[in-house]
Amino acid sequence: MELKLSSSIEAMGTSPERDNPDGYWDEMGVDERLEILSKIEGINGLFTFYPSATLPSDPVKMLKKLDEYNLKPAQMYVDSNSNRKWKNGAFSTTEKNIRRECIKLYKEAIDFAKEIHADSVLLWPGMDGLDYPFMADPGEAWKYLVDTIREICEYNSNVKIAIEPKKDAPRQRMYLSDIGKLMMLLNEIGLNNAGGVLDVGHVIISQGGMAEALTILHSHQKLFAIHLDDNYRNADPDMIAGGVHFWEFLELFYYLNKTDFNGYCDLYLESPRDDRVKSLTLSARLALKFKELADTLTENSDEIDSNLNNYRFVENVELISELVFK
Amino acid sequence: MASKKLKLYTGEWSFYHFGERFVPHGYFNNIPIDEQLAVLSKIEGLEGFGPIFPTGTHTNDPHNFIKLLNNYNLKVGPILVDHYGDKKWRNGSLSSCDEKVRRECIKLIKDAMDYAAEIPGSIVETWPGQDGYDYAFQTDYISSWKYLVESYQEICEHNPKVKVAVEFKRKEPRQKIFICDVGTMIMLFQDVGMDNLTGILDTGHAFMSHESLAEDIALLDQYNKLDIVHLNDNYRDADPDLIFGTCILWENLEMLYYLDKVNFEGWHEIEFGAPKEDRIKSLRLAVNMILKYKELADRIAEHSHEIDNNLKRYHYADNMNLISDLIF
Amino acid sequence: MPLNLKYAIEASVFWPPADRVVPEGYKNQVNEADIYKFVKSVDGVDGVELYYPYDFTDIKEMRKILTNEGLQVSAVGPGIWSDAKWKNGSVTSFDETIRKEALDISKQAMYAASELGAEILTLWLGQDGYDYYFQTDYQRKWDMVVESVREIASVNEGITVGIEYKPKEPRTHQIISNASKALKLSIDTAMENVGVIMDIGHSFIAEENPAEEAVYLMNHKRLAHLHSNDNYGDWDYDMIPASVHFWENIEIFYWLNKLGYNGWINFDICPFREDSVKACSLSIKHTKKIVDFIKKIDISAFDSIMKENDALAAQEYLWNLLFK
Repeated sequence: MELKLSSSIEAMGTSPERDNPDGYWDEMGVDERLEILSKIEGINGLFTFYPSATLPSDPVKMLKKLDEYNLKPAQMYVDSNSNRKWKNGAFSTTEKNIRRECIKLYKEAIDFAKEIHADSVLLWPGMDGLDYPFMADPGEAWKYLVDTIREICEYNSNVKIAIEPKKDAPRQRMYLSDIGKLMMLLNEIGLNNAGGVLDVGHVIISQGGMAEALTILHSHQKLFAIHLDDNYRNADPDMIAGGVHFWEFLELFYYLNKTDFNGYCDLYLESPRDDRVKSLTLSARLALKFKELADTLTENSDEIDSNLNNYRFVENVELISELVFK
Repeated sequence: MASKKLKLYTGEWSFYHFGERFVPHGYFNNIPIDEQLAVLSKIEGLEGFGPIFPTGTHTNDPHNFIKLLNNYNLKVGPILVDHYGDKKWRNGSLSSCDEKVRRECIKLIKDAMDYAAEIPGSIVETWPGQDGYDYAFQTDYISSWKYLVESYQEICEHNPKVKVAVEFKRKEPRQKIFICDVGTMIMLFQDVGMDNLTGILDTGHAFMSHESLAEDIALLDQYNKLDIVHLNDNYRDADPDLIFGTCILWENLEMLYYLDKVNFEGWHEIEFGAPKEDRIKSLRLAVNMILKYKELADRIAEHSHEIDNNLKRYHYADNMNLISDLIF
Repeated sequence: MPLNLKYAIEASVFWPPADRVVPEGYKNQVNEADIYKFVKSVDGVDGVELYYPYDFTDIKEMRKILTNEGLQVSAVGPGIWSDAKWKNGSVTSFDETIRKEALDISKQAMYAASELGAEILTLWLGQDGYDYYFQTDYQRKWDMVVESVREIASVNEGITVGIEYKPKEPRTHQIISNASKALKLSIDTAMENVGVIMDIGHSFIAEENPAEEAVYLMNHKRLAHLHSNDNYGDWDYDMIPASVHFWENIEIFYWLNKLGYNGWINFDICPFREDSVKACSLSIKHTKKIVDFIKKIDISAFDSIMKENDALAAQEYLWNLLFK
């Protein structure tokens, strides 16, 4: 399994946050950011946005830009979140005109994605959820959510739509909160081009196990993309993957080696205080290191898997520790 | 809309010694079953008693069991299969990579189904609580999930006329349980593909998974998979099975509103851990709390047209003003 | 002064581990006579942590067993939680008879500690708390804890009474729930021989970074003792150390080394499904590996990194040093 890493120009962004909306860094030009990304060892994919104020909106110009920096088109995120019109949801809202606007946006985005040969289109229903009890009818919301997403996926069966769950933020509760609900939705939609994003940080927040989540998605042929990031299990600050958790990432890459995944692992990173370039460089290096360590484990997979199947945990950890630590 | 009476039941767990890690022998002595049933028969609102199979008292013959309960004017509630409370299940039951253990569990549940088949309208409850993991590099997820789905398929095929219910829970006793939340449970239903596999919503487990009870009910109802509700409470971090309604107000109220909205007519189980308080008083309080919340929910339901309109239009403040005026 | 550690495990590791779901326990009963042989067979163990009266009642007999097996005692604690009578509290029970019994057991444990060569009393007030809102008088409970700890500590100023904090379980809320409260309690007693026991797993549940809390406790000279285990931050599952929280365990040992912790680490683990001897041996092995690793760190280089708040440089340094 070949590890394909991507990142976005937002990793070189200003990192605005609620308590500091102006962010922590000066604005960098697009070309400067692309130049940086293209030089980081391990990164060969560009995570793009639609619409984008900074990247070319013409697909031909976009392809040229990618070529210029020797970057391949990875996931393309469609922004159906960062505008107040989506505040009651984009897919699940009771307001029909908003839902139709969302569908129209995605169809345009899918056309664009096809032109630039994006690996997949990212659909994250971030505004679709609840804050309070007695705020919305969740039954009605789910019906709209499923129908809207289905219509989007049906538009072009040759373009992969990778759907991303998240527990909360910006809503207190998202409808599409975890891997279980994602699979429920994907099984319901039943289309080959509708799949899932394994954002490992989101899995951690929902108290899930990332390697287990990977196997669930993969066994259903729904693993379309991976987002690598880290956190302390109580929020989603998009930290460097491996900066907090270790064993789970090692296990993730071990199980990833068992798959035929050929999508992108996106380095999803916010670096409000640490040098942006160094952070992303380290992030890539750690991902490659985890892969390298996992490869060593894979060479010993007969013994490791036998330990797993026979519930010999202590023996397994002793073996793995010998293989990975100096 | 006339308010439906809640079908409430409990089981031997309400008279448990409530042993836990630090006090394994528990806080109370056992009470003979006749005494338990006598207590239950006097609590207004309670109409059922759910046996634990096969470890419960007097559960060897379903017909005798029905007769016994009839003496106390009680119906037989859902039948809880104990495939978790013994060390032999420690590495899993239905998902175990040890085929002997798996087969033993499948047979146990099939036996429970045969028992249930003798009791009209009965449901078998399963809770795969030992099916999960604690550490990274402890469990083979690929095999475990495959076995879990296959085991449930085989169980359901044993007698498609008997419903088998599944209960999700995030953790405890495992650090991560495979069937952890409502979405995963529905995914299981879809993958197993059997009509007689259905769902249990335990309110405490949903809180521990930070889920919205109303949303869980809506989803399970949409899939026609909501058959049993377990009522208890907690602080969203663990599952101490506190008395229903004592910790979280609004979501429990919304839940009852929603259960009425989807015309839920199944069993509501009363579940509480009462290691420190008097068991009988706790049980009475639990029933009273449920009935009180139901009364408030009924009051709200009389204005369901206005409330639902507010929900559709996202007029939250208007809704809360209306609801607050109704209940306080 | 560099880090100087001795390793202990609890005799109760070999009791059948029980939980609410399987109260009879996940393993078979072990012969009581063999327990200390099992303890001794753990690779790298120096001693055992005991509870009176759960592990022993006869001090002379216990001393004989320990001498035979060549085991020291890290600490002795009063067993004042594992019976229904403690359900409303031990030293904070509003029932004076229960409260007195808890204090008597604690004082006996102080005496036993001294006789068995231990310098610490492990005081874990697990049943002293509450479950429901509107259930208890918080200030009264707090005052009772302070008064009780003073009374226990007064028995022997040569033994440090270590307050072991924990947020919950068996109560939904324990009164002495985090490092700050435990530190405040020890200061409120106005006694030198009162300190704090940090159970690293409890610290995670309290949403702390144990390294940070250890620094404050050590700088107040109140870090009496350490318990080591792991969890996912929400429940005290007593897992093998560093099996979940990896970097956090490395960081705490960094600071323990820098500030010169000299004492015991007790592995308070509960191997529900794993072989107990193997799990304990692995715990000690991992800890020793972390300690070896920490000692390789160039402290002045790391000081420079911290002066700059340079998280990235710290990560790079550690990865290069740790992994093959």
